Amino acid sequence: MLIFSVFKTLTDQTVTVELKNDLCITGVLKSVDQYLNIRLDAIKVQNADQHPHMMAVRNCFIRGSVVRYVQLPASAMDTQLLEDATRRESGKKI
Amino acid sequence: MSFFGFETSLPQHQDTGQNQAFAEEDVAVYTWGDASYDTLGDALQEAGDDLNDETFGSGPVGKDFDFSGTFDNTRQPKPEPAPSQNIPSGLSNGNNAWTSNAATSVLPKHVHPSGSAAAPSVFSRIDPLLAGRTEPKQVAAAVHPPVDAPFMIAGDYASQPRTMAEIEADMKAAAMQQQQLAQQRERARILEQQQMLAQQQQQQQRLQEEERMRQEQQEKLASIERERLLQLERQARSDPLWAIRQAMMEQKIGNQGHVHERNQSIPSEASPMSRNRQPMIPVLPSQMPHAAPAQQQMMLQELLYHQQQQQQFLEQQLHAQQHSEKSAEVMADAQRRIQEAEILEAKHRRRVSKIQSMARYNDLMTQSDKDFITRVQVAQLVTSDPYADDFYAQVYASIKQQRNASEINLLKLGSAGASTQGNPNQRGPHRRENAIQRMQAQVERLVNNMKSRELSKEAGAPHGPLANVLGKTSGRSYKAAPRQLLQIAIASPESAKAHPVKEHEAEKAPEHIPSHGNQAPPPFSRAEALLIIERLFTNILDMEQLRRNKPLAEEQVAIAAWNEKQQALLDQIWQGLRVAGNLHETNPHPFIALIAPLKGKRFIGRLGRDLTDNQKVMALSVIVTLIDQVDVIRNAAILDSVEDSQDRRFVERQAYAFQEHVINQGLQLSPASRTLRVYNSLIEFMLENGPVFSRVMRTRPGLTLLEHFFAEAALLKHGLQGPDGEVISAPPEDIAKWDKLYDRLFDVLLPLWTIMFPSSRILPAFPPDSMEIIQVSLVTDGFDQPVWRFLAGFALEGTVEQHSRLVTQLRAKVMGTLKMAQRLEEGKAKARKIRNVDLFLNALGLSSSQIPLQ
Repeated sequence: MLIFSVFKTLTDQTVTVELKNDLCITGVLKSVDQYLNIRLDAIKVQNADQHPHMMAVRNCFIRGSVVRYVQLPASAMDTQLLEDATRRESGKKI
Repeated sequence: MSFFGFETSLPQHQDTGQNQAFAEEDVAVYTWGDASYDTLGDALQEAGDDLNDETFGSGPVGKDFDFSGTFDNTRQPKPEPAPSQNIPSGLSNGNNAWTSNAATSVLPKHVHPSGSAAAPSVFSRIDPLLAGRTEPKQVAAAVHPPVDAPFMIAGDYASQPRTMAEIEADMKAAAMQQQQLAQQRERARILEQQQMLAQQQQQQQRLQEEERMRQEQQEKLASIERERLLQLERQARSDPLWAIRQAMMEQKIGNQGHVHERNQSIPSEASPMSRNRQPMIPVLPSQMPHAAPAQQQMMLQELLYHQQQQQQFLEQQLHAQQHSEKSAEVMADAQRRIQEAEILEAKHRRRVSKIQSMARYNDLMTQSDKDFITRVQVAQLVTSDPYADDFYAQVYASIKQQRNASEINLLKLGSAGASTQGNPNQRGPHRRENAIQRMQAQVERLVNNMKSRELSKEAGAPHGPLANVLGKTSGRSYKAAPRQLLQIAIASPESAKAHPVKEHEAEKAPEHIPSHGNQAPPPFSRAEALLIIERLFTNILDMEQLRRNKPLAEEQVAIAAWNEKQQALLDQIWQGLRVAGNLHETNPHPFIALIAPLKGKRFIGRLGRDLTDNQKVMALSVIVTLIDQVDVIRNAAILDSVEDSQDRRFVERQAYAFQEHVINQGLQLSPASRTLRVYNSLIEFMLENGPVFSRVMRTRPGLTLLEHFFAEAALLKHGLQGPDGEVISAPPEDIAKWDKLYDRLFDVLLPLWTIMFPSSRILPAFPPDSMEIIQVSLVTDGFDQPVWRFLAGFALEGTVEQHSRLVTQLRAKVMGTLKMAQRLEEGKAKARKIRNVDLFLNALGLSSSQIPLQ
């Protein structure tokens, strides 16, 4: 739930989602659900010329399981809080 | 009824002498009753025929069973089936017995439309299907009278067998005929229409003329009538009987007129559609001038109306031509408007269609479906303890809210923990609050149910930890977290002993120290330090959680318990830091070792408000006394290089964290306990071990630390502005002590100044007077700046005599820097060099511009 919790605070922020098929999509995060499915708006694809099929796509829904990385905006993150949250998360299990 | 359009007429024998015809044919002929007759007929049972009528019916025989009606029995005798031989000879002689006899089919003869088609179609013989198709048309066109079919078939064609080519030719001919016929009819129709149109026009003209004539006639008649009346009056006066006769005659005429009127009223009552047909009415109004004056008037009015309209139209056209220029503009405008309107309408239509298309899905889900999904989703988002399951989002939101006190959309769904904290910014519609409360209650119930179910399941699970490892078979909740295969041993107080780190930790605990006797235990390793820090972090998180759940001020008991808990936690943390205890227990000191990692430094930063001033002073004392053990001081040599490396960046970060988190945040004393005495003693501690001090002063972090203490002390010496404007000055004995300390510090530092500059340590490695050294000096200027600043501040506190000693000591440095600046071109770099020097010179009341170079 930690990552889900983090993503909840990132709505309406610009994030870059790297998929497992090496597609890199930058867009405004609209919503995330418990499966970490991601909905992006106003998307832009890196190396757009290599992915012409994405040219006309303006928004997308990404299944959580195909995501490799999500690049988060540093300005919208509280690293210390994230550390604490991680500690709590790990503390629950031990 | 016919089947499949087959000709249904029965083969008929036209005459009784057909046997002769048979004999002529080159076909087998069956002769019954001849000499060659085999007397088989005698074997027939002649009796029992009485009820035949009932069996076969007694009505007129139809052609329903005549499947081969097209056959001409005279020419193409059909071999009779064997049973027919049993039929009495009277019947067998002629099939016409079927049609002429009383024993006939009850079915009517011409039921099917193709019955009339009995008709002499050529094709009926060749292709009954085709014939069925073509016949109705042909019948319509043909002149043949509808006669009984069997007699009609006997055409010429039937006589000879026909080849395919002939048949095709026939068909083509027929088709051609058909086409021609159709064309002719079409032409005729067009002609008719044209004629009708012409007639209409003519009649209209005629009507108009007649109208005129009639009017004239009416006038004439009226005059005649008047004359006649006059005459009648005259006659009446002369002949008394005439009046009666006249009256009777007039009555008669009136009746006739009424009849006419009625006759004509039928078409005239027709709709306006038939108006233009009115002239076609055979009975023309002129033929009966008195018949229907009302109708005549109506027609007249209509005509006049049309004329008026035409005139109006013409006038309008004329008008339009006169104002053609204007109208062009108007037209353009109108067209534009029309286009706009069309575009708008198209948009509207599109929207409506979209809404309609979407409306297909309206009400697909029932309210209970929606509720179910909402519940599932909410249960995902919400837990009974949001700070446990949704820690990041909750705290992030509250931090954000604190940061900008404005209204922030706080994620307080189900924030049961937060609500007790009481958020003053919580306003918002009452309804929403209610909804959230209801949701909370619902979620709480859900969570409880889930928990109890899981508990019961666990209780019932026979396989212990291996249960469900291969996958759950049922009852999988929507929280699709896979079960962990790797089970980590649960930490418990008993297991702490077994764990090496924990054992170590336990040994290091202050209360355990005496047990070790003289043998110095090894210092914390990095891993151990990190583990301890993590433990302390959990303590601090617990404490923060405790603070969030602070009971309300009214609940005295709860507050007391809460305070106790907090104090216990704080003590635990303080114990964990291991500041107190033997200073030289290990090298480095446990506390110093704990703040060595970046994490440790940050941890101290977070403790800022939790440590008491006493504890802070203690920690500072440890740091100052054992400053050579502090990692940033030990590794400071790496900072004395201009090359960018990972190590350098690491130490740089550490140095910053040390200054920022440890000194400025974590161990920053509260204003109340920030006294000159404290700083005096801290500086004294630093000075106490001479060789270490001089070494520490050559490091940037060490110098920064001293600068920090010195600045605080200098500030306190001059006195602080109190809250009421009064100056709070330090006690005089402290000031006296400070003065002494300053003099001592001055003496210690004086020889060190030149080497305290990082540039002085870095630049000698480069050849003098080269471009390289100037380039490097540009970098070192940045390092030097804090030293110049400290020097300026330090000099400010000194006496004039001390100033001159400083100048003498630092003359070379100042001159060297200025000379280097001279060699630089005008710009930022040069300005910075000069500014650095001026920091110090201005403190002495001097300026770099006064110094003559060369």
